[in-house]
Amino acid sequence: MQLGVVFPQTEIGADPGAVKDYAQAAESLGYQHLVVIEHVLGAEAANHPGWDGPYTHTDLFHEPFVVLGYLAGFTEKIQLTTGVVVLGQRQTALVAKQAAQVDVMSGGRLRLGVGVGWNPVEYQALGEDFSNRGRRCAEQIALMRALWAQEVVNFEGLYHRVTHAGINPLPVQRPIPVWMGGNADAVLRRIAQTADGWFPMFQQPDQQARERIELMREYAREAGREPLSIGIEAWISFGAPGGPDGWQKAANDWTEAGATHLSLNTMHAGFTSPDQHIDALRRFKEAVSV
Amino acid sequence: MKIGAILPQTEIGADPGAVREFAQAAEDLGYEHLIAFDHVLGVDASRHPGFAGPYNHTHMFHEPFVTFGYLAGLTKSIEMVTGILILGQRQTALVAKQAAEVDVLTGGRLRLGIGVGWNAAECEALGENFRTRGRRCAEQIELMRALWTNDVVNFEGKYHRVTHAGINPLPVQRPIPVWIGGHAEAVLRRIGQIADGWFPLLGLDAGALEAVARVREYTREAGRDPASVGVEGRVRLSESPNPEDWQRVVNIWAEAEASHLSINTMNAGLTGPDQHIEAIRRFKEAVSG
Repeated sequence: MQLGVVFPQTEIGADPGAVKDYAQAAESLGYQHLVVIEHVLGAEAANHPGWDGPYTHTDLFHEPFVVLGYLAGFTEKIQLTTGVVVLGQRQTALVAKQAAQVDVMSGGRLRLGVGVGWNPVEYQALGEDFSNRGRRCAEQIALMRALWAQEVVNFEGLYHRVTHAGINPLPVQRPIPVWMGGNADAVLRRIAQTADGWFPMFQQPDQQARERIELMREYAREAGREPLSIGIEAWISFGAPGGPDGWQKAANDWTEAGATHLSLNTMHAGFTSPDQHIDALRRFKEAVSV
Repeated sequence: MKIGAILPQTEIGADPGAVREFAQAAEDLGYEHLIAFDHVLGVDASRHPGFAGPYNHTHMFHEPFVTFGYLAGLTKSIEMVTGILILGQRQTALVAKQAAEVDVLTGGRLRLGIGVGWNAAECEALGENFRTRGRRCAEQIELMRALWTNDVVNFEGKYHRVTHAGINPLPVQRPIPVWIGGHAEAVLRRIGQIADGWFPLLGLDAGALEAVARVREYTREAGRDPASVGVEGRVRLSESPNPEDWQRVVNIWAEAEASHLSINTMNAGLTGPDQHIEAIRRFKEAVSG
């Protein structure tokens, strides 16, 4: 089991010193990866009638590729992870380029989690088509992997065209591992067919979660892949009821359910300063063994 | 005149330690800014008949926003400058977001130089329209400035639509300075109308000083003070290894009232990061701005 942390994007604030202190604390406490969630823009709920998205324009998100570039220089071994980047609203070749750059600056420490997102306002602002974001996803991943592995790519898909061109430098990892987020049936199938791992985003390791994991594995067998070669990352909330005993139980249950990675999420636990998030990392590490 | 150094992108190699050492050396030597060029992709020239661009797929370019993020915490005072970022092939709101993030992580040290680019194949690989890149440019800048100065933006242009949404965090500089590169007549006019500064990207023997005069004329026509629009001159080590020649070029730019000047150590036969660092040390000793 690989134990990591969810970078508290919406609560850490804009001070770069706090970002650095948090990442260095996570690394020195022995956490093995740091996951960054992201949004490029937030919508103003008051002007979007019926708004029910989880985030608005008041939520702060550090841009993942720039901030992971920043952290690459301050950390030595912690894996830098996006969980997830909304791939469908970004240009595929630019994601490949920026991911490769983070991988180069970090000496091969990037794990790229991608998803299709949920916010049409954000897609519109970025000039991308929200309605076909799922269909584009597999092709986006295929093109990125080609760009990471070959100096020159010639690619003609349904949604992309690259004419004998490539990125330089190539990443250290060729290719960079691509994990996918989401839980819809179409997403499970896509993960089984193409992903290196999965962020299921389940709240609990309950019966339903186990059934979804089994379904994904069945799709993997159908696709001719070894189901256990596909990683699964679960998150544990620091503020969930049950305290340290609850954390340990959740860790045990996730291990038994087949998770390969666990991350501690300290957001939504009532913290008001970076130091409180760092202290929570320490307390969780002391209380839980995986 | 502020003196800066150009990150020798195509010659420094992929080792992040070398990028860091060059940036830190430039800062320690008293350079006031560090410029990074940008290409997202390069083409295989052998497969593009008639290709005449200056760079192909064998040229390495560190991605400027990620690289500046990396350097943000490893430097203290040096200004980070894209010179230039090819704006027309990137998504406007994402450029605004990533520029703001660099500005936040550097404590307000970003200057965003942008241009329209020349490589149709690169634009194609990024899914953008090469033909309209010039026309889209002014609207792209307008939207970025709105995103950098308002929590929430409602924008409907010819090429962009943002419905009551914004980026967060906002940059430290509100707005981040936008400089434009290039020397086509339409570009010179655009600079006079909307830019905070200009990268001529033109040698002195190719009419740079005449272009400076035209930009200042366009700036006056737009009702702006020509002195408020920066100009960045350039010295190319590839043109002469001789310090007297460097000083002569510096003097010409100073006389033309350039606000900034930078040294380019690429294409001068240097091999390895140490030689580039040595070259910027010699340049700094030899010239006074």
